[in-house]
Amino acid sequence: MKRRTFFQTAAGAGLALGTNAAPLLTHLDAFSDPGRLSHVEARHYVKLPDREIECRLCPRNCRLGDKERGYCGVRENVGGVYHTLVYAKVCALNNDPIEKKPFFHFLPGTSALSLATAGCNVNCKFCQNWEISQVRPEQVRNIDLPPRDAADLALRHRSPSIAYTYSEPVVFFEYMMDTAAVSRSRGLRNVVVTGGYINPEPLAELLRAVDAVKVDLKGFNEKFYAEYVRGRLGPVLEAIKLIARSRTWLEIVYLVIPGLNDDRDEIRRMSRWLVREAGPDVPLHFSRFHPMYLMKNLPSTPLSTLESARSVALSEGLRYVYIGNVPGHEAENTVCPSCGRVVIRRVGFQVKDNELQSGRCRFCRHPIPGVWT
Amino acid sequence: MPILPASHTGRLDLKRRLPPFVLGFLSLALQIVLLREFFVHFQGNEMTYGLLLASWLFWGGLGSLLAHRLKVSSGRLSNLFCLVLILSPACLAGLRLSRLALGILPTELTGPSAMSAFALALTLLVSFPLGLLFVSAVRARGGDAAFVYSMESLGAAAGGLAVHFLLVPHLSNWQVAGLVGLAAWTAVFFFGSGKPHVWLRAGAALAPVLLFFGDAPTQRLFWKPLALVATRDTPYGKLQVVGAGSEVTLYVNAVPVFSSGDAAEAEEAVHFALLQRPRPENVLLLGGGAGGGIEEALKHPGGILDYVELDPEIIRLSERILPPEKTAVFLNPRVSIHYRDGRAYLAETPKRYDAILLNLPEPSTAQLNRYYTLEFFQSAARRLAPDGVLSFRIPSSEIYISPARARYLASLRSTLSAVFPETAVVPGTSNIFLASRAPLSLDAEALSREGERRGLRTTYVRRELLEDRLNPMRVEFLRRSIDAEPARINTDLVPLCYYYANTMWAAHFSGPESRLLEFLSRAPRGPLVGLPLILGLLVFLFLRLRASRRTALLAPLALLGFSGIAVEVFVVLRFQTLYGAAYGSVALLLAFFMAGLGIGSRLSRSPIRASRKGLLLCQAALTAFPGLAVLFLPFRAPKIVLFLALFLYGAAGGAFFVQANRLTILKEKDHGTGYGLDLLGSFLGAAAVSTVFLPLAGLMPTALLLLGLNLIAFLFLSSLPERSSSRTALSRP
Repeated sequence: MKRRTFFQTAAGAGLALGTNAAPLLTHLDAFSDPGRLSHVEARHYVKLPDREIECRLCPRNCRLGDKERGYCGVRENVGGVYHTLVYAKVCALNNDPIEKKPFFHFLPGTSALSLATAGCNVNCKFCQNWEISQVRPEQVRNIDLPPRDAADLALRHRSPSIAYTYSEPVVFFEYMMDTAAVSRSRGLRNVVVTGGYINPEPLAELLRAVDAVKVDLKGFNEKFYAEYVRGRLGPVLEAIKLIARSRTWLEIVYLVIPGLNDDRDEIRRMSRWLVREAGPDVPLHFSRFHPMYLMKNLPSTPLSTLESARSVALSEGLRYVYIGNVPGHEAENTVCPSCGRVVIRRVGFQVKDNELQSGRCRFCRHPIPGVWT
Repeated sequence: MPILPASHTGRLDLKRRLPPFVLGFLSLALQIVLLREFFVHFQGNEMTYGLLLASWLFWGGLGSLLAHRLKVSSGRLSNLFCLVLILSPACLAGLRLSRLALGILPTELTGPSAMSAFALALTLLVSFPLGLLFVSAVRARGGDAAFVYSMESLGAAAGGLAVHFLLVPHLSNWQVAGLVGLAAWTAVFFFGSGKPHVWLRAGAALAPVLLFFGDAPTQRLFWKPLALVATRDTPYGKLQVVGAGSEVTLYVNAVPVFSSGDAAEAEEAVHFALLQRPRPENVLLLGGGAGGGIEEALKHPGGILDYVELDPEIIRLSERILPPEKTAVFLNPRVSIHYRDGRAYLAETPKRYDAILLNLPEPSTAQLNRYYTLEFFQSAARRLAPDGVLSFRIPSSEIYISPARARYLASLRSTLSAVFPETAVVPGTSNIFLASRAPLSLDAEALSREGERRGLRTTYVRRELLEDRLNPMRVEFLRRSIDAEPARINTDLVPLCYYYANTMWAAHFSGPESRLLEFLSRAPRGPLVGLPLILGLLVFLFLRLRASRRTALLAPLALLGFSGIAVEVFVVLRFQTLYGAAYGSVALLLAFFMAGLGIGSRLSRSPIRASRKGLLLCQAALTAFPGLAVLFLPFRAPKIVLFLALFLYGAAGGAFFVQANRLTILKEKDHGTGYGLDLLGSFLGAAAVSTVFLPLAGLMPTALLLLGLNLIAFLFLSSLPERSSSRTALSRP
């Protein structure tokens, strides 16, 4: 495909590519035309009599007859064989600062080639990316980006990692796994931004393939999950425990929505649970809610609510508690828990100063947990 | 058939005249209150109005048509009045509190299907009995539908004016309904014929009290888990201040206007434009000043700021709820506040500005769309200095631009480009559109440097975020995403963006309605207007060949309803685009229309013989209106012409209604037929014309459609054989 043709295609697909334009522009020919949906056999399902199947990828365990799709809308039973329809069908592609995911303890100051397909296995009323997550893959414009090409793009883009993000990477599990394998073999890291709604077996497989996972913990009670997320909290907590016990780096984001999940006691219980199950070093980001999707008319989160949540979490023993979506706030910085000095100073998505040396505080040599190189 | 004896209540003959007058008054007052509440509940627009109005008219029409089957007699008049009064608080409370039962959050977006279901369920409670009431009133008048129609229309005219000019400025919506209910109860109790059942009487007396005192507690309940701090109903909408933590958010019609602690939107609305020029001396800010727009603009040194705000209550309320340091800007000597419609201000001011900052919500209503049309941009261009900048912001997506969104953005950009040689669009979760005659810059480094030079202290529009946001590839891909979709220009006469914004709203839901809106947004204009015309032709052909003479004479009443509502919307829209915000004027326009209906039907009741010729004459007058609209639409009609046009159209419609009824109503069971058909036609008109034809096809093709349909009706009527009609009970004075 000619570069001009790609531009027309990709522009039609609404793709936005990020920084370092020059290398990207010179290698865009790697893309193929936007095509039909993929029909690659899915993993983690069992065949049942009468051409029925049961998906075992996420806790929904959808049981499907022939030609039926799972809750996520991107996996379909075709004559008793379960297919993923979005293998290499990318609908959003950017090169983002890794701080935007957010990962604060993982290769700070670098960019991550960020990609997504359509679909999600929950239905949050406050979804930030509903135009790709709450639709079927045929409702968005996709481009083909096979695993090898994704790795190529990241390398040529000088991004040390690939981020599976925006929608819900669990629903494009096969594509993510294959891309992670290819890119790891070529020296790239892989990070996953997920709601954590995944069964233990596929999660264990995923953890062997990727380097970091950020889990969006959307609340800390089952009622909230049932009403506003259309999922269950229990499996998410199980997933967090599993990730925390693995060698994969874990960070947690808690989007604070005024009136819905900002109760101090709930945040206290959540912080205690995190300290107990994931350890005091797991970074926790309290993000400011900006009105979106079905909740686009709710107020955004008051700063005082975020600060209060942060002080509760710190008092419960968590050592790295951040405030997100408030650029310039001092709680964007990483502070050494030993000497109290700022070791990484951030504003927005930019790292202004990095005082870490070999993963230790330059001032007191205290080790700061994370993946720094 | 019972016929009332002559007046027993003095020269005014209240016993005869009052019930239909009260019916009209009550009906329109409740309709206005429910429309306002519905609008607020669903953060609505004219489509929301269309849906609710259509449901209202549907049930009213059905009520009239079924009245005979339901054995509605004149003796039930007072009981039915009481029933309406009792059900009106149930309807309003059902709307406000249903979210608690359905597990919906306050202000949560609701899709078109759910909204239609709500509209149908709620209007059933009030409009259906009102339809029955009409027939009951006709029977109480010995079958004189024309008299009832005439008095009802005059009552509606009076109701519209009283609600808009006397009640709404001083009372909340519920209180208005309560007061009107109390007045209706008094009228029915003292002047109505027949005593209502004692329980109904008591219930009807209690209902206004519930409305009067139940408003504030139910509003607080509605907003839980958030806290309602203050509320005001103004002629422009419902203002509500909602507290969350230490911050407050001001809502206008349930749409957040600003939060006290979040400067993101104000910063975006102001700085991208003001950083384009080295010394923006004269700045015009249209809307959003209380939410930080003024404060942000004043961060740029020197210069003066004209701030235009439509609703003075917004500023008054802000002064009450915001900390003094935030409201001090209102008194800053650099700031002049003008309380008026922004578009009208721009058309009349002699000043020239270095920047015009449009800081209003996106064009999700026809009312707001006036600020995003070719005509508005031309008006802005005339008031801009040679290198002046116009800017506005539209909610968008940072990571993915869907084809529907691209079409919407493309329309806005091409409309801007038709006026300004230079345009630029900032990517992000909001797209900031910039336009000028001089070059514009989206260079992060240049803008950051300029901001730093001026010492701007900002949270969101700052170097650390601009570098990511204004990355050249992001800018380029947004540009190309927009370019990938065909662009149509948004004008006063074809308010396309209003439709596109609604397509985006419908896209939040996966029902078939979102696909229908999306499909229609791609539909060419020819078939959009041509198909209903062909359909109308086929219907009239069928009627001509198969239907009885009576049916044939009644059928055009459905078209009368259809055209009537279409003409109302048409004139209101034109009035708004020509003369700015027309809230009070809308009431006045509709009152002229209703008064026309009343007087036309009254004059047509003279005891001469009703004839096909008379009907033809009325139909000719009804056809003339869209004909004249086609001829004069490109010109700026004086206000008085629009008022008179609606009055005359109403008069012709009223006369037509009476003539058709006199020619056809021979039996008691026919009393509600004409009225029912009229309302069902209006239902179709409200559903289709205001929601699809006007925004998608535009005013001129809609006028052509109305002209075509009415011409067909004229030809149809003139093709019917002349036959003398007998005088019926209807014509009895």
